[in-house]
Amino acid sequence: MSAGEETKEIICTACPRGCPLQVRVLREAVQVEGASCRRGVAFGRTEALDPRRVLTTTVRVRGGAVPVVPVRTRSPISRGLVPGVLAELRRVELLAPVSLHQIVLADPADAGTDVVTAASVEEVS
Amino acid sequence: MTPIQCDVAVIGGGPAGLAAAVAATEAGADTLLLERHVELGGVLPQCIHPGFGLKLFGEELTGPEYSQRWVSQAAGIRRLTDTMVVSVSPGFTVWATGPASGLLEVRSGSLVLAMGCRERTRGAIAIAGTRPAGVMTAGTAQRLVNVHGHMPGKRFVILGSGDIGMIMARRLTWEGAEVVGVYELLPHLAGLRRNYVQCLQDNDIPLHLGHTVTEIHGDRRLTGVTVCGVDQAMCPMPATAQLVPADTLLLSVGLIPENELTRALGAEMDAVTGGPVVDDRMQTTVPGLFAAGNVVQVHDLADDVSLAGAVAGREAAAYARDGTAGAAWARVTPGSGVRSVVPQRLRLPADPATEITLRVRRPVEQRCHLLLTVRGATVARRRLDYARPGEMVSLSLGAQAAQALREGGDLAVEVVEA
Amino acid sequence: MEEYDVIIVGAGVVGALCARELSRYRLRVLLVEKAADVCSGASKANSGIVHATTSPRPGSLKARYCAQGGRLMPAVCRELSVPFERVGSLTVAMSHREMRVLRGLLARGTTNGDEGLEIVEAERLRCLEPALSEAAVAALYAPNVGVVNPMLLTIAAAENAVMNGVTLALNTEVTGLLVEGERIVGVATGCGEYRCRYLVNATGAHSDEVMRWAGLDDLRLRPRRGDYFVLDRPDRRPGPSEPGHSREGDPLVRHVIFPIPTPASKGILITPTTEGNLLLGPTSTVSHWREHPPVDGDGLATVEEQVKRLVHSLDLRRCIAVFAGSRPSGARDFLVRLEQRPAGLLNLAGIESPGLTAAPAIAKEAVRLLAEDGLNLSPNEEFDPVRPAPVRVTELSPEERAGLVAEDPAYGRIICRCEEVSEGEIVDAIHSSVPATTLDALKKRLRVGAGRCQGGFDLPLVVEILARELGVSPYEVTKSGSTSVVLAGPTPAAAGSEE
Repeated sequence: MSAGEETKEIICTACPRGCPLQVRVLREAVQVEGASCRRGVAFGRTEALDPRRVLTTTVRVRGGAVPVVPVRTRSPISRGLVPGVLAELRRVELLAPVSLHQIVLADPADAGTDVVTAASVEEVS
Repeated sequence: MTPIQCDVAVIGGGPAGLAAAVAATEAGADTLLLERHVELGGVLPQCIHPGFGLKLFGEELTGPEYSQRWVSQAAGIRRLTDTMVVSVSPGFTVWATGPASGLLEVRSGSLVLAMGCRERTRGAIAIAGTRPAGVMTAGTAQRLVNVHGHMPGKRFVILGSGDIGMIMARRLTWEGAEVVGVYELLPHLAGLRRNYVQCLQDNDIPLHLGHTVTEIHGDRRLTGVTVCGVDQAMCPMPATAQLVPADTLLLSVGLIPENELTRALGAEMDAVTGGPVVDDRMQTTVPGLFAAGNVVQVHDLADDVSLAGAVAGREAAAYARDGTAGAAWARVTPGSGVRSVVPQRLRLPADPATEITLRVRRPVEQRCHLLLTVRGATVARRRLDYARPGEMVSLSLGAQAAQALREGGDLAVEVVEA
Repeated sequence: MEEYDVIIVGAGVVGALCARELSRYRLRVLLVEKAADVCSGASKANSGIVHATTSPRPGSLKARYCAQGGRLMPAVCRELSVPFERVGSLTVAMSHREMRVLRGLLARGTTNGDEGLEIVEAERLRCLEPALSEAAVAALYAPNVGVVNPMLLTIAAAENAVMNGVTLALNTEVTGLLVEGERIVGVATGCGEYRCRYLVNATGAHSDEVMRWAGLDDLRLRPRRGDYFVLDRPDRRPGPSEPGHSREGDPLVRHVIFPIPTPASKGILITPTTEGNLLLGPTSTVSHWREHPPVDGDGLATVEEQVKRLVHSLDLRRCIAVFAGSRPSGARDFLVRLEQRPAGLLNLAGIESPGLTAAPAIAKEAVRLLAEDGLNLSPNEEFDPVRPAPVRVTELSPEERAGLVAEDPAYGRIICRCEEVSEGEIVDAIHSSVPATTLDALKKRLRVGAGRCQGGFDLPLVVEILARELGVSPYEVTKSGSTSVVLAGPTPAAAGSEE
């Protein structure tokens, strides 16, 4: 193993099969072993270099029929950004009525995507 | 009390019931949807994680979004929410009650049962120890956190590696709680590997396979649990016992189809799935009584629940219209290596497009074949790279099998290693 | 300082029935209970059987009060609107050798005044109880044995007592006795001191401790613990409930099934409850837990093994809950005694099985003893022995139910699906004369969360209703009082900027 080389054991989640992958990363070069299909190779590469996740949580709603509304990132964000975005979302409060896919945070932490609501909330008077 | 009349009554407004109501209405039936919660969607609104809709909508949705798609489709369909069905009679009469609806009597030509399932509880698995506050099922915790905004505790132990348990492990960690570990009795994961990776691995939550909770401690509020390794017969090994301090124990130890109404109507039950025996049109053994979704068998994906619901709704509409239940059926039986199979009956002449779904008995981590046999002869096969009890698999009946069944006999399903 | 004619310590079945008996007279009575609800000790966790007298030694207080209590029970239950069912019991012999024991029990029961006892064999036995094991040779049939829900009995008795003027102090733990000279004159509690002319010790598992406070050292209780399984009730039948058409399904076992007793206990039995569940247990082992013993895994295994000998077809997969109870065991007989030194103390102590059966008789005896000692009993003109049945929506005809929901929509919102309990019934229980202020209190009264889903569906809703009706935050709602909070607090999102 040369300097700067790293091997990661990753379970592929491109499909439910969950192949165990060995991913060797040497600077920008990535070698994936153990995948049963091409999607697995692609998955191993992304997961080793920049694992991405859809973040889902809830934020507070004032004056709504329910106290919280589910929210999500429109697309997956870098896993490392998750804690920061969660912390930012804890400070957010929406005012009812809330509509579906309303923007909650625009491009938080330069994640490259917005956080939007995943449900609507009616106003209660 | 004047009874409400309809062609098709659907009990349960979750993914199965919504799809059934939409399909029945599309087939021209006057449909009534009954749901116990104020909102439609069943368990979906509390499932705020992604993973829904890939199969049906080609994009990854959260539970509330997936629910919203169906609720929009069902816009215009007569429904009674905040209304609980308390009893049913053959023929069909449904009694339901709600604060706005009062006590209702509904008369319908056919009935779709879509009540879903409930979670196995502490009582059902008889854990020893005290009975303090702080012991609940993972799904109850999910509802408390995601819908009501309540934290059930601060330091959690999760028993069972079912999907809801793992998803809640991540959810609670993200909400600032500590999840000490997930303990699984079986030597393998109960839920999906994706959830293991994204919920447990990502958040450094340890998974302990081959472990169980043997005792609950705490007089008023939970103070901890004793966890113990188990041997091959799944018996706890006292020498491995260890006290784990925690204020909450979440249980993710399985789901049980909710079938009290089904049994009351006299439908034949399948002891393995815990649901009614259904045919390829989701009709139970009671003519005009249909069932779909987790009431029939516990599914892995909401998309599959919706697909089954649509079949039930369409066929319930057909029954309400022409009253034809069918005249002859072939049985479908689980053979070697197969734990359960749905449908358990095929209406004759069999439809070659029928999908047979099944769960294998134990994990097969190598290439294997699903075989359909009639009178000992293989009439269809599908190759699989692996098969696991936690993942439902399916294969099409096909023309050859349909033809073979015309000549009599039952259909057996087996799994053989290649 | 407040002064009462009588203070009863302990709101179990004995204390509650005693309070009710005293409320027939113009007396100032205080019923003190340390827990958040009445019926929180041995009265809560037992088999709920109204026994025959085949066990107690003739001439004992157990024999006398068991016989008297058994005769009083149906009327008491009727007045208090508590379900009582005379299901009968079968004590089963598995070999011809055990027949001798049955004949001994028959003789003892007959001496004690039981009626209708007979030994049944073969055809007759199978006919009475088809589910019984093939190995059963014969059984002692006691047709008068009944079952009662001990929690509802205790709660209803306490409610009736309160209706008739008794003061109930919950969450009030007695920490010592007030003594003046040779007389007990009151109690010290966590909530202050209360004076009285007579103190009634109905503290169950703690009754020997209270006696020792008074310098009486002739009772040593050694608690025994017992483990139980609760099996799901049969499915309800189709259709609404109508007069003559019960929706409840047929139980697998119709009688209380006893094995041959051992010198230490009546053995591990099968009991059909008034709610349609089957209760399996209890074991009987010496323990140091005076209350709330933990469920013991080995104990459960013993129960399973023993009950399956009696009825092979019992399916333990139908288990919906397990629990354990502690009983104040160790006394040779009940201790029912008005003390002379110190004076002013009436001990109702060492009340173990058949204490539930005996309770109505012990309560009457308590009043007699107090009167004999000089307590003036002038009738309470407003006394009403009837405690009306709380509304249960499942017991109404469709017309009645529709009318009720139209009047108050809360009776239409079903909170507990398994047991079919409405919001209206929960609100009634929270505001009744013995208020249900915890999850367990609601469970005892209404079986909310006691069914097959064990509260999985209703918990979030019940917490909200309790918080709303009690005017507290959801985070103050408890399972059983004190520190047993159900929730830890709001999620960070719900707490928002206040965090």
